[in-house]
Amino acid sequence: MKILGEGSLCRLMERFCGLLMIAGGLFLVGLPWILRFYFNFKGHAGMTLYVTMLVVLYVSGLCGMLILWQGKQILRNINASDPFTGDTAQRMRRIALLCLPVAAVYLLATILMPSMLVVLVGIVFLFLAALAAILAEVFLQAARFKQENDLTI
Amino acid sequence: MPIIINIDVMMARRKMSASELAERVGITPANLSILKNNRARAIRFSTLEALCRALDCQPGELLEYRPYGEED
Repeated sequence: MKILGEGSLCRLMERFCGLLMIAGGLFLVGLPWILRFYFNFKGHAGMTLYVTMLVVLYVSGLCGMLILWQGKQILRNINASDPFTGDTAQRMRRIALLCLPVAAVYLLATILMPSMLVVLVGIVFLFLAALAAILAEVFLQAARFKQENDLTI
Repeated sequence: MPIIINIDVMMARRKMSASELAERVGITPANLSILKNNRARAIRFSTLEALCRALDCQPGELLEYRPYGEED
């Protein structure tokens, strides 16, 4: 399977990001009812847990949508055969910043929802934030090298 | 940039158009324009060689050093 170009994995992922954004948006809009249905189905009680999960899912959902939007634009740059630009670096930096609220909300939620899975998600998003920040710098360096190369006749 | 490439002067002497020179040198007209407008950061020896061959001149006739403050 082709990774880059027309009909490639990259193009497929760009479209998949769009679909995920639509699905995520619909999920966020219906979240209070979906969560209430889930709680009734599982027989959970307690407003505190409901509100905590609502806040966690809204924060992570909104940040996730914005991360998907930035990722979609990065994939669009890659598909346009112009990945090494300041724009890509800036979007990677935004992804790094958007991972931080998700990590924070999950780590804080462990107070009310003590669970190894919740802690793990928080740590994973902290790791992703660091990784994205590093990749942003790498893309910025690459953009500088590309500009230098483009202006070498 | 203190290094100036005086391609226009040599093109006028040899009565050569920009498109013809670009074709002879093997670069795009856009890249030739970058050279002419002194926006290039660097030039490859192969390109300099091709320019000298096409314009029948020495590198010294194309390249000029003007320190900062003396540029136009």
